[in-house]
Amino acid sequence: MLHYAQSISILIAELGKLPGVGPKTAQRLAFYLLSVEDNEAIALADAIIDAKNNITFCSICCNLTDEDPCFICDDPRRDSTTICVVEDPKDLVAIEKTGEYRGYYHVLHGVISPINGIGPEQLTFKELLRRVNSSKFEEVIVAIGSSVEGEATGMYLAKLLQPLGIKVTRIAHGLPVGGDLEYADEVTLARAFEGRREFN
Amino acid sequence: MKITELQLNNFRNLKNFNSIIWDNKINILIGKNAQGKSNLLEAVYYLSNGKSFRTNIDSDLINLNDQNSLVKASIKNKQFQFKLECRLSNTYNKEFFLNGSKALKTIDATQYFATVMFSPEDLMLVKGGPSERRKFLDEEISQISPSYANRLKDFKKVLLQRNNCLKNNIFDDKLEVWTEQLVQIGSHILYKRIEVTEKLKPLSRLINRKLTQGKENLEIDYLSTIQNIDKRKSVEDIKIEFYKQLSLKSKEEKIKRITSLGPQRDDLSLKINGMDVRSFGSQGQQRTASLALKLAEIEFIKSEIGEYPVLLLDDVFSELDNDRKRFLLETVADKIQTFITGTELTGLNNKLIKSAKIFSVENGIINVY
Ligand SMILES: Nc1ncnc2c1ncn2[C@@H]1O[C@H](COP(=O)(O)OP(=O)(O)O)[C@@H](O)[C@H]1O
Ligand SMILES: [Mg+2]
Ligand SMILES: [Zn+2]
Repeated sequence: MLHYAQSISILIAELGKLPGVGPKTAQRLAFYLLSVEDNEAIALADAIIDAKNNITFCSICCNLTDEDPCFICDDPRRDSTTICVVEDPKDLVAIEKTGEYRGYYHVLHGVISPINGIGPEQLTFKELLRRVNSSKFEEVIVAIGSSVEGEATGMYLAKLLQPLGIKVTRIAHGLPVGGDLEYADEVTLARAFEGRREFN
Repeated sequence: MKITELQLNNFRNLKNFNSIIWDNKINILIGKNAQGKSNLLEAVYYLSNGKSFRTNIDSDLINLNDQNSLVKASIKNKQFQFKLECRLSNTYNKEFFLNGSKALKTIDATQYFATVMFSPEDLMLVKGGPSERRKFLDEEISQISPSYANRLKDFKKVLLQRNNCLKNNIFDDKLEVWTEQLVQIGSHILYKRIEVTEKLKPLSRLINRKLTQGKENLEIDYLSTIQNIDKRKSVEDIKIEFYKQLSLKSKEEKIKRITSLGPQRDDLSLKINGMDVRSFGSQGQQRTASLALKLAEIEFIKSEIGEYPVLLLDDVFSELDNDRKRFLLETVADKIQTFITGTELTGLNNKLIKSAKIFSVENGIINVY
């Protein structure tokens, strides 16, 4: 990296921190950015700063939002008996796209993984428990990918919520194994919802 | 199953950019030490297993002076001809391609290609610790069952997570979610291991008897840390036993802080004429039994997938006496594509040399001898 002017080196290094971007890709992206029109580069930089400044966590569902509560939590026409629990905001978007699900959501921002120091306390279980206790939800749908960590997270939710008389279901796993929901196509995802089953 | 062509690019010290055309039957690779013979077998093995037999670190496989490496083969099994390709890089995770299209998971590509590797270390199969024999079973079953390979991967993750909980005094429901998965996935693994051991039993007994002119009876059994499970039990039965016995260990686990029972601690018991070969067998008996197990593996794979795997024999000829050598070659002859490495042709039988295609391996370059 010593061969580049300092500001290029910094740009490459910063891009290289992005998930899924290796040194070579970072280099390619950097030179691409240098080659575009000024206003395009500025638009990108602005978009990043804007998002950083305006996005917060919804105080109800913990999704990322620019207004609190988010537009989903704020929508009274939704089915107030179900909550769908997802690992991250990308999964929520994937499910919304199917148009099949009409209830509310809860975003955990991760899955249980002791080796990474992530237990229920590091996720938004507390917020979820508060919601379940203070409203009249009947069913919690676990829509988390089928990795062993996802499985553990779902099982833990069931152990936590079933004693409260809540039905805890999981979406059917015809999904890519160990895979993220975001990669499942809409039809598969819609079917997975339909075929959901109760934890036992 | 046959590998007809192989292209290697910066795989360890190998630099053959052009395809090498292999013989359908016997290929002999001759070269001095440290020239790349085992590297070549490793490359072929990698294509069929998605991992190496010598390292878990993929970047070790890339030439030290380069960032990327490629292994590409044309393979013919009894149903179809296909191309299998693997790209390794220091900047991204390994990628496998089947007929040019990228496989979502490694096993989606590697499942059509089976190899059996046999090296001097395998002669330690009997003498070594239980983990050697678990590895033997696991690799063998993974070759014929992608779902087993997936479960094994999940099981290792669950075990790691569960042990981490025990180490950090995490109990109750937070431990329970790992315990349940350990039992769930572990029981499938146990079931399959027991089933496969039962199939290997008559095969290895027969081969060992032939190797000893009928004198020795080899008896293999799956030896589990979980009691009361055998071939008559279903996966559900095994789950119940596993869970029950693990629960009884919860006090012990709190003290020892490690998972006390399960497939990760099991073994194969090997007896000759009723005596444990590992403890009481002579060196010769141990080697013969190891060879018998490996040859049984080949026959087992054949019976499962309907054709023989490709056989990779690394340096074993120098380690075997004439009788065992002859038996091995008779087994292989005319039916199994085999790659044999060695430092010299002397000592190999003339008929074999005549029927084989011979290559030299020198400083990472492979040429027709
Ligand atoms: N990543 C690598 N890059 C370059 N050379 C390597 C790499 N890994 C191993 N080697 C070289 O490969 C040689 C060993 O090859 P190997 O196939 O084990 O030898 P043999 O012919 O005795 O079986 C050694 O010279 C070693 O330095
Ligand atoms: Mg070698
Ligand atoms: Zn919200």
